[in-house]
Amino acid sequence: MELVFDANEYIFAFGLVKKEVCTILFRRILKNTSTHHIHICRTIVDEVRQNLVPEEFREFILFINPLSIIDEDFFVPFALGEKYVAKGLKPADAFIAAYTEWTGADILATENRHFLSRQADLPFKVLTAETCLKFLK
Amino acid sequence: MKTKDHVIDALRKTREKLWKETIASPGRFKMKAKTARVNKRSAKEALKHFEKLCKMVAQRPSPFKGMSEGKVIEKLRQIREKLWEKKIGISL
Repeated sequence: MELVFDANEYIFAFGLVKKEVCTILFRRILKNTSTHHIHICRTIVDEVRQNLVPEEFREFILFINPLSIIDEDFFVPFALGEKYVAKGLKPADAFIAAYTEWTGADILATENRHFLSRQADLPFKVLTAETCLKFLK
Repeated sequence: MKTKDHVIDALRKTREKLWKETIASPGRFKMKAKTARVNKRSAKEALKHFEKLCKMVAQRPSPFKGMSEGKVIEKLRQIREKLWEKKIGISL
């Protein structure tokens, strides 16, 4: 299973906002790395960085490096992002949707209701950490 | 004989047609994202850093203290929008 985690899932998982289910989800994935792969792009890394102090960010990079290759934003075709802007998503959200499609991921895990309300329009599943955890069982 | 304007118009029409096709069909895009090879050792390493990060975060006050989950998500979206505007600005 190929997964993209929105920045809010990382932030919740690290405990900046208490949401145990996000932490459990990451632990589950870390224990099943043979079947689940994480994709992450520069924008998500930058967003996480905004909410961590430098020492914590260093730890985040050490955590993510063995799991994933950070994709640069410019890899994602511009037109793919525009498609989601045309569907009504804000440019930055549209980029995350475009990135998820570009990677060919099956799931975008997010708590962002703007994605969750657009399930039908998207070529991938949009799940909250809780539903994602149930889905991966 | 075609004038310069006719040629430009024809080229613009071709561009419009190509653009519409590109927008309409995601299959045109090549999926090039690389998947990292994760072995047991690197997964263990990642888990170690994940747990350490959780501990580090727990030791300091959260910038989102007292905020509801919805408000936190909205705040994170605002940060994303700002970051994105900055990125677009830089690339122009």
